[in-house]
Amino acid sequence: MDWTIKQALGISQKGPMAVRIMLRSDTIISISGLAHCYDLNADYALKGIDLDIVRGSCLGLLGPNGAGKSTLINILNGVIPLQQGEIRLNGDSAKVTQKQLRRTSSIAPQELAFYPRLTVQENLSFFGGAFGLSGASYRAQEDQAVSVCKLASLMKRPAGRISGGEKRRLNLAIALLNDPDVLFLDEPTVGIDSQSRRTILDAIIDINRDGKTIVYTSHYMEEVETICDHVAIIADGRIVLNSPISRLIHQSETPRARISVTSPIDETHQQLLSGMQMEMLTPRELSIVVTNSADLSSILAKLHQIGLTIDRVSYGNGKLDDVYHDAIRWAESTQC
Amino acid sequence: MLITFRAAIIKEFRLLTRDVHGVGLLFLLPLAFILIMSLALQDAFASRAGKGLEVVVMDLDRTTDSEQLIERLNTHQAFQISHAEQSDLETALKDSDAMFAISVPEGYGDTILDAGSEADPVYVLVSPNADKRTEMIFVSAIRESLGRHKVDAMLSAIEDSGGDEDAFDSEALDTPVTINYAFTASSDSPPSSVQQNVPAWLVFAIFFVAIPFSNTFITERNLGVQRRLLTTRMGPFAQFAGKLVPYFALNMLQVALMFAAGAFLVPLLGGDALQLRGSPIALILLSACISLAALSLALVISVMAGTSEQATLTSGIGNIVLAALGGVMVPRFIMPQSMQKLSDISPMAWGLDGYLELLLRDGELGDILSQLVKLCVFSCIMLGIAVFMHRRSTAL
Repeated sequence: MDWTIKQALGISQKGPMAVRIMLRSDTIISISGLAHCYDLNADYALKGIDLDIVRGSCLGLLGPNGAGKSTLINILNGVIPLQQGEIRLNGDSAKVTQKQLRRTSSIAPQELAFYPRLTVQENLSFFGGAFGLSGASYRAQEDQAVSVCKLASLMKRPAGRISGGEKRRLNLAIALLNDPDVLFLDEPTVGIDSQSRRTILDAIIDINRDGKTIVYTSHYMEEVETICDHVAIIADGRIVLNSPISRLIHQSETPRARISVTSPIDETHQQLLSGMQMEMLTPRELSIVVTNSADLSSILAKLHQIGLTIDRVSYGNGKLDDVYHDAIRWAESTQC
Repeated sequence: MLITFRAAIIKEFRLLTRDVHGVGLLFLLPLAFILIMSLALQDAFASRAGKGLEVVVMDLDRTTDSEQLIERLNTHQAFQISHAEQSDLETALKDSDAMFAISVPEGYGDTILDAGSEADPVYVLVSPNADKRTEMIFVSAIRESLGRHKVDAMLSAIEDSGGDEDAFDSEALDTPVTINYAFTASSDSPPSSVQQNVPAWLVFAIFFVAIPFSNTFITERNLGVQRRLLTTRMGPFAQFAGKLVPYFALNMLQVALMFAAGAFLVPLLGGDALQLRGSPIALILLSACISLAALSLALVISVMAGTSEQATLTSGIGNIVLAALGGVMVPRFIMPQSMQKLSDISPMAWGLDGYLELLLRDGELGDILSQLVKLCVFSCIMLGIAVFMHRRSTAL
């Protein structure tokens, strides 16, 4: 596989799992070698994260609980100080400060982080003040957030007495008040009904369309498939997969086979397979266009012939859920 | 900075107004204590408790007679006599730790044997915190000293007159001693229980605010608001100040209402009215410093406590311990010396001492300066600890 393919797939030259998406000039946040340890005696929560977040994109940050998503988000929000590695904003060569990160970004945390005893309007007013907004600038931002999150009819109601979905919308609206360049959404649809989820997802799509960069964490893969254009999967403090979503799931008419092998596929193997329409997903996994079952049989035979032992084969139109579980399984298998 | 500060204050005021029951309790509880304790201890305080056996003497006579009287008093081991350097007896009493002050008037030697004289042979001033039993012992001791002095003087007169019995006037043996009470509206009535209980329970009330105050941070932490605020421009100073200002205002309202209750409500229920004496500026400054000390202590508790239960228990139990130590529940002057020294560590004791100095002794700003300094230093240390702990807990 040549380097352009690697780049496209988000695999870096640094090593098999030091995954890196494309280095583009429109990168809003560029992270390299980011590591974090909460306790000197504890294991690293993040172990050398390299990640570029493209301006205006919607990045789905996926991973199991405890993988390091929250730590990464908190560092990118300026909540946790940077220990190791570098974060750069807007392609700037200077290292970013915590204050700059806070001013650039905003977060809608998983918790309903507002005051239930205050009305919706009073909550917005307080957090607007906390962001340093007042007067006309605050009113403009409030109008925008209220409009996007459809809160106009709820402004006078105590936040503790509105429905779960409405609370989620308020949580999102507060995050929009400081007009952030990057919006971090930490499971913004957890625990709400499908109609409210649809409203929030529509709001997020609108926000993204308006040019805001979104980093979205969720355990609902279908949501990520719907709204995200990039996906980064994090496991055990490392990014194990980082790719445009279109390369991971195959919504085209062409069926593909996802084939996992037991040993890494090296340059020699790739040269031997050069005649096939294939993409490397990970060093031990590839995706190949398959037209019929006979075609699949010959592909598997070819892989066997060049010395690769087949571990698992899935066939059909891929789903993000499959990719996610494969990536996590692969990450677990490579942990030593 | 101003915008975030203003937002924090408005938010905290709004939250306070949404918790009418909680805020109401902050007033009702100390009010109940003031009413119950003032009325219940009315009789007990009529014969005030006290410890002091130090006596300040002002000798205006400066004759052998007055010196003999003072020497006689000095022979009583129960009293420790010191001479007043001030010109005014009340000032001398105020400036010392003495429970009693005596003025020996000019011409004492002449009046002591004059049965027709209506003037008291000595003028006695009793501190508000001297108890009745000590007062009676003291009066007896003076009577005894005066009586012995008279007997000696009479015997000497008889001897000088060559045994003429007419020179001896038996009525002259009567030694009337009139008691005067210092720092009261009328010098012949002792300070009431309300005068002692209102400041005591007011100090308790001010510190009692620590319970709801300390919970505000825990609630915000549990809601995730603290974490969210870390992504805003609102730093710890704006957050702290935003909470301190509304609760400080609440404390000042407590001060006004508790004093008003002592002055107007207690008399309606049959008790004595609180007399607001001392310097008003000093009273306001002292109240402000007590509030600051209470709130800064609450801030430390709220920053350090992990759960709402921890904060409530720490604030509640801490309050009771500080109140017991500080003389709110048990007046300090009836505590043993060792306990009195221990109680000096309680900020409630500093506040209460200040109030008593103002309300019982007509104190001025200068009289409570040491209490004000102690409270301010305590507040600064607590605020420093709170900021340090807050920064440490947020810098994960």
